Parts: sequence; C-alpha cells; structure tokens
Amino acid sequence: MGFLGMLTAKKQKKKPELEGGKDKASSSLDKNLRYLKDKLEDCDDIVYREFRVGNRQQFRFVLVYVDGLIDRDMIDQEVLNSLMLQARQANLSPGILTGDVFSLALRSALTTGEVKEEEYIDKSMISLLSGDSLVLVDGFKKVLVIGSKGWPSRGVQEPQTEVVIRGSRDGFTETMRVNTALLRRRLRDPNLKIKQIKVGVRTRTDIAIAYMDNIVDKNVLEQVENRLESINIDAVLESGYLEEFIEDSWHSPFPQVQNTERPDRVAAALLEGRVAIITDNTPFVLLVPVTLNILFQSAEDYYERWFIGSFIRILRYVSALISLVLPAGYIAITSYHPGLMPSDLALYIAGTRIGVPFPAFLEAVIMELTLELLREAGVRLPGPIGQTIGIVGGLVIGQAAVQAGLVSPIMVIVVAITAISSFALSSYSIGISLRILRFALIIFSAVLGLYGLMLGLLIILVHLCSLKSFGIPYLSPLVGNTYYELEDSFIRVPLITMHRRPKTLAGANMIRIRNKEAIGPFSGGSAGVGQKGGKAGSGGDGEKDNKDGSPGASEKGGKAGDGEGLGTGEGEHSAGNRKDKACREKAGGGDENSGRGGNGGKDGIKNGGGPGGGRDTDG
Amino acid sequence: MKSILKRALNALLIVTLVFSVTGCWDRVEINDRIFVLALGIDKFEPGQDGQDEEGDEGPEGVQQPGASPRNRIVVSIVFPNVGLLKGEGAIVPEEPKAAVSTVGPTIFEAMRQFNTRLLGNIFLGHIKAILVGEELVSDEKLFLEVLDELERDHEIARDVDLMVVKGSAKDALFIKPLVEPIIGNYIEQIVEQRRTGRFHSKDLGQIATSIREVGGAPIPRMLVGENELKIAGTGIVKDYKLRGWLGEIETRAAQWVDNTAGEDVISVDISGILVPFELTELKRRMKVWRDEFGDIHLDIKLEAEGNIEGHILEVHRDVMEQSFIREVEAAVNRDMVAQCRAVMNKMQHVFGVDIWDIGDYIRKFHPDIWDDVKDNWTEEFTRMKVHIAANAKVRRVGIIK
Repeated sequence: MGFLGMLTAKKQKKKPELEGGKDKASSSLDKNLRYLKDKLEDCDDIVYREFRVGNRQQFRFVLVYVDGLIDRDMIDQEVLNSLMLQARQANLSPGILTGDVFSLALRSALTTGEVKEEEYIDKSMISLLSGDSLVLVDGFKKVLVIGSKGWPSRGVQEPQTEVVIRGSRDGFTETMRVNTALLRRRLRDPNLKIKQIKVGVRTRTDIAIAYMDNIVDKNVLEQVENRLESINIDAVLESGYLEEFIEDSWHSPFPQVQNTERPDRVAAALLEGRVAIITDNTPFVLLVPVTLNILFQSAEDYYERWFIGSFIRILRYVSALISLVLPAGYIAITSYHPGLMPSDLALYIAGTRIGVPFPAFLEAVIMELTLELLREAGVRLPGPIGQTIGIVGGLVIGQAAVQAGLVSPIMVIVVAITAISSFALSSYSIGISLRILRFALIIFSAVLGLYGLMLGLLIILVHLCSLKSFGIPYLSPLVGNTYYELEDSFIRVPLITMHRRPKTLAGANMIRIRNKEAIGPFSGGSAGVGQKGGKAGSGGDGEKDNKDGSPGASEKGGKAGDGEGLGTGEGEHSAGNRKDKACREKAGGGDENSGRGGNGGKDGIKNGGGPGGGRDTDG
Repeated sequence: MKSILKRALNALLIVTLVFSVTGCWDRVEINDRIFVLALGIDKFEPGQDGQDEEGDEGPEGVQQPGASPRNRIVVSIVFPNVGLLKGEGAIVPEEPKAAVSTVGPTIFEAMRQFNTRLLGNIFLGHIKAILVGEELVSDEKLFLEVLDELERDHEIARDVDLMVVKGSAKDALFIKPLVEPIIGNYIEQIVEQRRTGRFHSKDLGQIATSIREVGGAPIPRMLVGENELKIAGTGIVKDYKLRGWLGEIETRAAQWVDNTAGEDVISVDISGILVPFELTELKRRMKVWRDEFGDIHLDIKLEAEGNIEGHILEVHRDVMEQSFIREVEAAVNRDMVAQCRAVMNKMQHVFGVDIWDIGDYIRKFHPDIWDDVKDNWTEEFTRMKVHIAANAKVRRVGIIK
C-alpha cells in the first residue's frame, strides 16, 4: 500500500509540470492577456482577436487560438458569429444581461459542443497549444476553453506495413482521436475504456490506454499505467519512444511490445485481454503484453478459413527457422561436416566453389550484408527508384557475382531463400530480430561448426525462456500449463471451437463463445442467437449480445474469478434462450423462417439483459 | 552502466579469443577437400610400381620400391574432378576422375603420403566402395590390420561396400570404365540396382561383424576387365584369410539359402528345351532340430514364385496345360535343391564356414541346442544334416497367342 501511495504521490507531483495548474487566471483581462503574450512571446502563429459583446458593447472579450490548429469555420460560425451578432440581436431582459456574462456565454451563446471553463491560465494555455481556442472575458477569473481542434491530417488509408488480401482496409492515422474512433467503431461496448494521459514534458503527447474493462488482466493494466506514468522524457515523437521505456528488458533482441497499424488487430487484442497504447502523431499502436506466438500471427489468419490459416502459420514458423539458421547451417555443414550431405550434393557444392576466393563464412557475411544494404536502400528510396535498386541489386548479387567467380551460386540461392523467408514473416519487428541473430549464428557456426550452431540456438532458447512481457512468459503458450491455448499457436483451430480466451492474457470473462449447441445448421431452436454467437469470434458483435447484460454480473463476480462470472453469464443467457423460445411460441408455429427466429433471439436477449435482479434469480 | 560496459568488454574479449587463440579448427572449405569415392588396398609385392618413400631420386626417376619393412601395402584412391561440374570458366584438368596410389605401411600413413602430392584434405566420408586385393586377403595378419583400421576410422561409414578383387585392387581403380567414369559411383550403382543374385550385397559393417562373430564371411568378388568391372561371385574368408571362391551360380544358391537373393532367372531343361523361369519371389523357411542320436538337422524350405518367360510356341506342348506347368515347377524345384545342396556341401566340407549365420539363428531360437554346440560350432556345422526342399509355383506363362 505504501508503494502504491508513493506512486500516486508521484503522479500528483508530476501533474502541474505536464498539464499546468499553478497559475490561476486573473479577473483582469489585460493581466491574463499579458500573461499569455508573455509566455507566448515570439510565437507568431498565435492569433488574438479582441471584440466586444452586448448591445451596448460593454463586455470585452478576447479570442485566442493557434493558427492552423483550429477549425476556422467552426470558430467563425459558432463563436464569433454567435457572440457578436446573434447575442446582440437576442431580445434579452435586462436582468439577465446585467448578471454573469461569463456563464451566459457558456450556457446560452456559444453554440458549439465542447466548451469548458478553466480556472488556471497555464492549464488553458496548454489546451490552446494543443488546438483548443480560448475566450477570455474581462472581469472573470475563468477562461472559456472551446474544443476547436481541426488541423490538416491524413485520412484513413490502407495500412502500408500490414497489408492483407482479405480484411478491413482502414488503418490508423496520426491523429489519436481518429484512432480511438476507429476502435470504438469496432467495439461498441461500454467496457471499452480509453484512458488518456500526457507524456513528454515538452511535447505533452496525448497517450490513450485502451482496454476491455471486464476482460483485461488488472495486473497488466496497472503495470502499463505505472510504467507509462514513470516515463520522464522531454519528447515522445513516436510510439517507439514509449516502447523502449516500457519493455521488460531493453537488452533483448526480441520485441516485447507489439506494434500495429490495423484497428481490427487492436480490437482482437483487446478482446483477448491485452492493452493498447495509442500515441498521438503516429499510426503505430502498441499492444502489450506480447508473446512470440502472437508475433507470428496475422490478422488474416482469422479471416481465411481455418486450415488455410493453419497452413500459412506453419509456413511462417518454418520460414522463421529458415531465416534464422539457413546460412549458418550451410556454413557449418559445408566447411565442417561435408559427410552429412548426399555425395552428389557435396561434390556439386565443392565443384561450384572452385576458384571462389573467400571462405564460406566470409562469402555468407558479404552476401548477407549486400542484401541488407539493398533492403535498406530500397526502403528509403521512392517507389520507382526503389525498383531500379531491386533490378541492379538482383543482377549484381545474382548473376555478376557468380559469373565473376566471387560467389558460389549455391550461396546466392541460400541468401535468396533466407531473404524471402525473413520477409514472409507477418511482423516486421520479429523479422529484424531474427536477422540480427542470423549474423550471430553465422559467426557461431563459422567458429565451431554444427556444435556452435546448436550452442547458439540453445543460448537463444534459454534467453527466450527467461524473457517476459509485462509478467507474461514470452514463450507462452508453449511454456506453462494452459494447453488449450495451443489451439491458436502453430495452427489455428476453427473459430467455433475456440470457446475460451487465452488464459495467460485475459484476466476475467474467459468465455467468448457460449452457446455451443446453438451453432450449426440443425440448431433450429435459437437460430437468431446461434447466428449471432457464431460471429462472436470474428469481432465483437456476438460478444455484445452477451455483454449487454453482463456489466452487472461482472461487477458482482468480477473479482470472484471467472468460474462465478461464467455461471452468472450462463444463467443469464439461458434466460435469454428461454424467453426466446417463449417469443417464438407466441409468434406461433414451430417451423417459422429464420428471420423470425432472429427477431425472437433479439427479443430474448433484450429480456435477458434486463435489470440485475431478474438475472440473479435465473443464475 | 559501468558493469554493463565491463560485461560487454568481457564478452568481446571472449569472442576475440575464440577467433584468435584457437589453433586447430576442423574447418576445411568444401572445395579444399578431396572426396575419395573408392579406396583400394593391396598387399605390396616387390617389383610392383609405385613410389618408395625413402629415396633420393626425384619424381622423374621413379625407382622401384624395394622390399623394405615399411613397404607393406599399396593404397590407391579415386576422387572425382569436381571442377568439371562447374562448367565453363574453371581451369581444371579434363579427366573426370583421378586415381593415385602409393606404397606404405598402413592405410592412414599412406594417406599422409598422398598429401605430398595432392592438393587438399583427403576426406573419406563419401567413400562408396572399398576394394581389397586377393593377395591382401590371403595374408591373414595384414587383412586383420586393414579391417581394423577401416572399421575404426570415424569418417568411413560402416555401410560402404567391401569387395575382394580377383587380381589387384589398384588395377580395378585405374581402369577407365565405359559407362560411368567415376569408379566409386560405378560400383555403388551396380550394387544398388542389383537385379540378380549373382553377388552378395554385404557392406563393411556386416562383413567385419560376421568375421568376428562367426569366424568367416562371404565377401563379394570383383573381376577386372579392360574397361569395365564386374561384380559376381563370392570370396570366402575364414579366420581373416581368403579360403576360396564361390562362382556366380553358387553365390546365387547361397543367397537363396540366406533369403537375400533378388530376382533371377533359372533355366530348366524340359525334354530338350531350355525354359527360362523368372524367379520373382522367394521365401526361405528354416528349422533346426535334434534327433534321438543327438545329431542336429537343418530343414530348409524354399517357397518360390515366378513366370515362364520363354517356350517354343505350340511346337511342343501348350504352356496352358497343367501337366506342363507342373513339370516346369518340378524341374525348377529339382534345380534349386541341387544348387543349394552343392553350395551347402561346399560350405560344410570344403570351407567349413557358416556363411549364413545359422549358428546365430540357433543361438536365438534354440538356446538349448546352442548351449551344447557353441564351443565347437564350426565342427558341428560341418556335421550338421541338411535337408533342402523347394516348392516353386508358376504364376504367369506369358502371352501365348
């Protein structure tokens, strides 16, 4: 408790620095204005607009905003126009007018949605710098802060780093508010919480922590909050800054935080009980905790049919292995253990290497470095030139080097397969890690042969076993005892059999597909519910059906563990089913069409999600 | 921060030490190796050509090595010219393979002698065949040494084909074959495609094991021609010494008894016409028992299946006639039994070698009998009463009209 107390104390101590709250606004407009102009000296993008309000022009107002950061139309229409013209034309009784013009403006004159009053002038200045407009009124110790953010921003576009064939095409943008909106569009659930904090003394970057309140593991959430709040840095320009501060071990080559540009991926992660960290000014959202297994998954695994998803996933694991060990294995086998190869292959490799001036180790390092150079050059260059690089590089490393006798053709094949494999991985960050480790393994096997290669792999394995991401073992579900989570590892089992959320990640509400018996073509009884439930895995939709009624239940049973939560939920649902059946009987006829069944189902759920008291008796 | 720096420096130091201090790596680039595909070992006879390791004359004046105590065996190796695989641009000799030989006291000393003439590191991991000369196998002391060296080396696989050459192994390795230029591959392919029972397929491991355990073993025989090699027949080794040969037909019969024969053709004489009977399947059943006088009996039953491959059409009798088919079957049975009996006789009474490991069978399945005979099994083997029967079945008679 003492520790927690310390943390909260620290929080409060840090706040004024980030969000203001030291200097109160004065009642004198000139004083306030001087304060602002003083602080914002030489900031020529700040606009001060003085005007007078009232039929006798008796009230002095000043509008302050940052040019370019605000929605000009909105300010003109809803603030200036309202206050200067419409307020004057309004036929007000003198009694009202002589009163509090400040709250009058706030309540009656400003026709815009987001307005609040602020006592602290420094706090309102920070709002001003993040795109709000200030209205200062002479004679009042408060400032009106008008939410008028509106700056030129990139629209929602297809994410460039995680392209899918099938799946949604919208990706996160640089504006945090848009990003949270994209999330909210997917999870219409009151349990989706989006908590906002500011990090960075100078940038005061908005960071949003998003999680599903009744699924998330509270320990992980607390850790995320603590770690984020303990960051004391001047600037956060990209989520990578945060990533380095909150990851468990900075010296590991493996990424312990996942980043993604895809809202559907974040939504799926939240539904597994993970926490998303949305940073302003970057489309890359961080997801924690992460396991190695998660980094091998792609959103599309769940959108294609399950055996295709499984096949691709196995392929990905194989390609990771190839990209890690192929060059090292080639060196080890050719220069230490040629007896391991079939004779014909050994003779062929020996033949192709005649006249090659470098040992296999140097050859591999040169070729791998060339490849990295090409990749780096291709990434930085604009599209059309990038293609040229590809062709030149392909010719250089492919043909010319072999013809010149500098490199053996087998090595070119090895490097090419390695490159393809490393690009086949779904996560860019894990691909980079494996690439670095590949060089380490090349050195190991050049020094000690296959023995060295195995040694290197063991070191990597030991490291992986000791690695944790926010308290979750990095290798889970391969380690630990929750065997059912393997259903979503090397293979992906059909969605209809993935009834439970991964236990290592989710903290409560473990069931994601409830009504087993209602799934399938012959489940006439509650067709509506069944269809909805069937969708549950693919998104949040079916989830909601159950969730609609469950806040009460989860509040009650939340701490008691999922067993109880499940029990309540089940009861609740069967109530829904029962009502559903009742509805159908009322509607008449055992074999009505599915449309009616659907209606019945909806009704049933609505009833099931009724007041908590009724549910209790059912459970 | 300091400790991290220190640890990093330590790690760097260790890595540099690994690179700089370790003296002997096993690393040899694959193109710097000489992939020996066939190894030949002969007994040295004064007068043979080859280079003497002691001698003050240069290579052009190759002297005839004398009968020095160090000159005991002639070791020859064949390795392919891998450079030819690369194709254009490589400066390589045109010959697809090279064969060299030297005289020395032991195989591995001879290998070091090769290093005075050849470029590269001799690698024995891909040997396909080991040939030993007739004379070497006839010298029990030398053969024992050679066999031990071959078995002990970690590079040489135990499933390499071992063959005894009638003549000298060096001659076999130095010929230029018409079909496959590289001798090792040539031998390996013949053994692999084995569609006849005319030679045993026994590898180094099997031969060494049975010489050690049974005292004798059959070793496939190689005959050397002008520009081809022939693998047929068997050399019989007993107590590390070559005792004699089995011919091709005898080898086939020996393998029938052994149940290792492949497909083959037996021609039987049916009233003056030779009818080829293609043996497609052969099963052997073996039974050992003891009669009331204490004699050991061995029953061997051969169950054969096959096809009639040729017959003069309609001149004699119809191949569809059952009596004809029965006649062929009876003739095949007769022939097989006669051949098996002949080779069994030879083994029992001429060589006295249990090449079929019947002793091992008795040990495993009749331990009570084995307890009585194990001390002088070779003697018991020669005294054993053998009953051989065959039962052939004709499955197909060919297209008849």
